[in-house]
Amino acid sequence: MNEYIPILIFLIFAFLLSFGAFFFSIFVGKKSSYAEKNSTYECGFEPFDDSRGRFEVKFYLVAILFIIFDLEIIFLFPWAVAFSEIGLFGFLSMMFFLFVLTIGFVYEWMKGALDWS
Amino acid sequence: MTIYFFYFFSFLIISSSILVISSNNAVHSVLYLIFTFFNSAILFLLMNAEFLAMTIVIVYVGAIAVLFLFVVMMLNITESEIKEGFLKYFPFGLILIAIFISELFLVFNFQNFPIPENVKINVNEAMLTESSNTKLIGLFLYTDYFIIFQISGFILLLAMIGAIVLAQSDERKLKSTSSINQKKVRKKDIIKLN
Amino acid sequence: MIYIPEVFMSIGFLIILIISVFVKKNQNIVLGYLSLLLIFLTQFFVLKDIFLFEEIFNNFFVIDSFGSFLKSVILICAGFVIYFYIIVKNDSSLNRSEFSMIILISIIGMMLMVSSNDLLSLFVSIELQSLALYILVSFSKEDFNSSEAGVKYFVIGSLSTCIFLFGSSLIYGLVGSTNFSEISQFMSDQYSVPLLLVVGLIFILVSLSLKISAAPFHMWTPDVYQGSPSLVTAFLSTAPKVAVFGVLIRVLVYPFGEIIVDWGKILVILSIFSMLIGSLGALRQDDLKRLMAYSTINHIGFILMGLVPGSEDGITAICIYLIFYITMNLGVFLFILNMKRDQLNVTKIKDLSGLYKTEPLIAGCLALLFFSMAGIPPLAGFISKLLILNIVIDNNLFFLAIIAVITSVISAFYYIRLVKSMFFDSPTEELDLLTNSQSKLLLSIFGLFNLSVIFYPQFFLNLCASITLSLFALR
Repeated sequence: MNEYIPILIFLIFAFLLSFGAFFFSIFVGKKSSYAEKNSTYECGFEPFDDSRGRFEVKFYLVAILFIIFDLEIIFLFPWAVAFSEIGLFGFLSMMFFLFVLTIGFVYEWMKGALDWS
Repeated sequence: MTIYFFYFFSFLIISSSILVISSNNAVHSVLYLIFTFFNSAILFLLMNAEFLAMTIVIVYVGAIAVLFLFVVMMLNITESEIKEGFLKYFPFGLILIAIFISELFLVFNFQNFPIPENVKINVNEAMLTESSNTKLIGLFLYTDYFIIFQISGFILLLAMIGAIVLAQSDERKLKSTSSINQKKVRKKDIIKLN
Repeated sequence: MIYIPEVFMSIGFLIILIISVFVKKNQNIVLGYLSLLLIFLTQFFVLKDIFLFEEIFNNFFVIDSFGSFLKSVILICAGFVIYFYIIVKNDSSLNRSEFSMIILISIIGMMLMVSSNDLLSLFVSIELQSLALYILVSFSKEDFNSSEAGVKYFVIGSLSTCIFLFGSSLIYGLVGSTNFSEISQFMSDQYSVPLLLVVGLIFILVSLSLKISAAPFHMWTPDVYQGSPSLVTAFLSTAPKVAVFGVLIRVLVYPFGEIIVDWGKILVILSIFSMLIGSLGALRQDDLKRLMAYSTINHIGFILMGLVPGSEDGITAICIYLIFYITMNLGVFLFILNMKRDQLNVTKIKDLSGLYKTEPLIAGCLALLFFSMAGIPPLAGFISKLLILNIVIDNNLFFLAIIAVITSVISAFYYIRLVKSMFFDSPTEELDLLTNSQSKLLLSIFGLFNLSVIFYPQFFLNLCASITLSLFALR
């Protein structure tokens, strides 16, 4: 447990610093607000619609593929740590796992899922 | 000492998860959700489950929360629509709460909760000999439990195929022309004088 | 050990996946035939070892004849669905190479499900199967209904997953192992079974009833059946049901056989609700696929009844019922796939009217299938219903038998209404003529099978009895 104490101290310090900056600007800063200043800035005219636009579905594809490979990497960590003790069987079992996912990777490459035209 | 940390972080989890369902802005909800994930990772750390804590930070905070943000952006819902069904589903939620609280009551009021003897992996014993639990997971996952590991590999492969099936747009095939081919077109190919 | 059918099928699947990228022309047809070939070869592997008993992969899976038999049934279902896919002209949205491959990977999941011997391996294989089914349901991208059905099915399916995990974590906490043999050992050592274990089992039961759509956990079924493409509905109503029934039988009879008093009552409630809702709900439907969903719920209730005593002959009856149910369902869905007007698929019941005038052979076969579903003698559906009722009465569950008979009569009403509209109503608008000769042939085979079973019921009885024996004798 003790090795996480520095991280905790770091977090507390980061928290204090960011909140300090936040509150100081509220209380110490000079404020003069009026309607024009608070309105949405868009080259001088009223904004047409909501600023939160829709994303194209391509982004989801990339995000989901990212999650899959992220999980694959997660599986690599314990394997690397225990590598010296699991022997040839553990090595081959990981190699088959990687083989299956590499086939998936080749598949999506050939299908053009990674193209960004 | 650890028990105070536990209470502190579980208080943070509960309050931030209440904020997830009560905040008006869906993007704020996702940010509170990230905070909840982060705190639950700390709870795992307190229980010495370092690998799980790291997994939660990398997978949930790093990847799934980003996807959540995408989904929230995609949905394009206004604030009033989120609140609409609240009263309608409230009784159902109460029933669920009642079920889960009675479950917990049952578990903790259990007089003779037997400590299992015939466990495959004796965690306490393993913790004494080994220091890191990431290594322990590695020792079992790739040898004794390798079939589970391979099936999860297939699940990931299926998820990959599924994402391509559902989300890849075929637009490219329909109406794009290669600019190189356009450049190659010569006048004599398309205009014919008889 | 390494030659088990699942391993063979997974390797074959990977090879087909790589081949699929290089096939340029008629992708879906070529891959459909390749998948059929793989299914045939796997069927051979399954049948080769059908009398083998072996615990494999550190006791995570078990090979026995009960599992092998169900695997073979699942492979036959999937083979028929892929064959339908090849012979019937589908919507263009289904004509992508991935369709048959996702069916392949889902049957890998189902085959692992019926042979799993551990809660952990059961969980991952259920996930493999259901993830594939979510993708299949929302497969046609242009169709809004399909996507809606996919979202509904996905939400319900993930709920079922959560419940399953919760239940198995309770069981693991008490027993200290997820293995079925260890759980069974624990149960026989105990004087009184702890309440918490029963709660865990109830959670698992609820999760599995969500998967087989037993009432009161059936709400998703009509919407999903109606929304998804007809071919997927045909698959959804046959193969996964067989697989989940296999899991249900294995989980209830083997590790939790000691507490039959507890789960028996729950099954009685589930089956009564399913039969009532399945028969009453179908009365007011006007869509054929929706009606088939309610008919499925009704049949599920009937099948669950056979599991209530947890005895050997009950499970034999269930196996027979499953075989006949599959032939009826596949036949009806083959017709629905071919039901077109002006090249567009229609699924309303009133479109059936006057079918006899234009297509007498098809109308006859369809009538046979509907009568068989209603359980009218001497068709296959009658034999299977009779067997189940026999088991129920033998175990002195008279009220259950009475409810079953009453609901059968109600459900017979709507099947007969369908047949009446086919034969005696005058057509409003005629359907397209069925030009597909392979579909005609298959449909008549399904009809004839249902008609002719009465001459050789002993074959199925002996087969299923010897299969079920492995579940009880070898432990």
